[in-house]
Amino acid sequence: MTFKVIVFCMFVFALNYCEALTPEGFVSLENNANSQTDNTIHTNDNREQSINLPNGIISNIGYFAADGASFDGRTSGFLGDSTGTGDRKCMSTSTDPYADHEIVMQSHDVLEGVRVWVNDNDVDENLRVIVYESCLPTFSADFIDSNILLSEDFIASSGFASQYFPINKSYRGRHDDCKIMARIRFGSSFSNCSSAPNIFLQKFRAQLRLNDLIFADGFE
Amino acid sequence: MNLSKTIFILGLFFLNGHVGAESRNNQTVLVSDLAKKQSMGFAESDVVYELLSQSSSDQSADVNAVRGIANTVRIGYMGVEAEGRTSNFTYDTISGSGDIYRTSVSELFTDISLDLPDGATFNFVRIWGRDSNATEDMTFFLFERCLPGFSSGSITQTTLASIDSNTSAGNFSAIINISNDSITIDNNACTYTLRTRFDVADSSLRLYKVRAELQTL
Repeated sequence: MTFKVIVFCMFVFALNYCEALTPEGFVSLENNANSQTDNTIHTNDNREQSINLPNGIISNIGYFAADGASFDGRTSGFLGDSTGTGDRKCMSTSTDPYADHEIVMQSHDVLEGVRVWVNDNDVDENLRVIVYESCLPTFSADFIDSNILLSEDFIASSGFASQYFPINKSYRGRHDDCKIMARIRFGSSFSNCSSAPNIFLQKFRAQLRLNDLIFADGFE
Repeated sequence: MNLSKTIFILGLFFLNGHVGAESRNNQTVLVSDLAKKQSMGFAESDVVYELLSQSSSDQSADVNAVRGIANTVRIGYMGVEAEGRTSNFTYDTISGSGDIYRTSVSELFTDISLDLPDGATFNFVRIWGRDSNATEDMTFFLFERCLPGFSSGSITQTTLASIDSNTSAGNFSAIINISNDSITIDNNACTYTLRTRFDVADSSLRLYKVRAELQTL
């Protein structure tokens, strides 16, 4: 009986420990084990170029862009370097491979996807592109409730590359309770950059669908 | 005559160089107490004004967000967006969801630059964090830093408001309310910063998020 209890406790501990090492850099899931979801990504979706909307609706596209060099470490264990052109790489001495940047959105903007530019000559390692939201109650105290909107490797090995990552979820900016953030992981390790010290993040750009303009006489 | 005139002019220059421009806000007082300056992360030579505390009726204004015909604008920043006052500030995270806590020994302060709409009425900032420390707190300061709009000068800093986390019960949410009820954002001359002082370097004091609230017409 006691042995069974010990085995059960070890299983529970192992389960929690595994959750604490998510590839997106979330150390623990705080009070809500179901707070993170990973969405299916359709990388062949071409919505970055065109959007089909019903007659009577005009949709405008806006962008938010950030240089690689403006990404901040998830912790100060992230040690960044740059060629001086605004790009960012993770130094091999880093003890944290994750770097974050906010995505600035107005209250009703929809995040459609992100485009990332890299300089990656590493045939074994890649950048991981992550977008997550962190939410808190609008007026009261609580833990942060996080939700992963995108988590996908940017597979490249021949130098300069650019790829669009659609987000299969219409996310509307809500500064009232949530903040949407971009995160980059340099390489496959969750704890250092020693195997991927020469992959450069050049630029990150979010594509936003701004407030739709709806014309009442457009539905004839 | 010439000597005394020179001394007089030098005296004026000396005074001007040390006091700097006055705060653009009414009802401010120049902070001369060194300990108070240091508690906010300033050096002795820094020119810091403090907005005089006024009776405020807006402590929970964000619950009743829309007043009159004004449009409420909220702009949020996660803790991970804060930058150390100096590069000696080091930090870590518990959840990895944008929260931070201080790990550095020598640097206590971190700043978040608030990108606020020009001309808006700025009332307060709501802060979320965790304080499970029975003896130490986080202290938050809201600064306005101004320079002449089109010429050189020394930075004039005004502490608009400050607040302690003042709990040890764990998660908290509090408002750092501008003492004079509100100011008008002036991006032509000024910038706005929320500074956090972590009194201990461990995970008992954690910064989750800050959210500025403004009214625009």
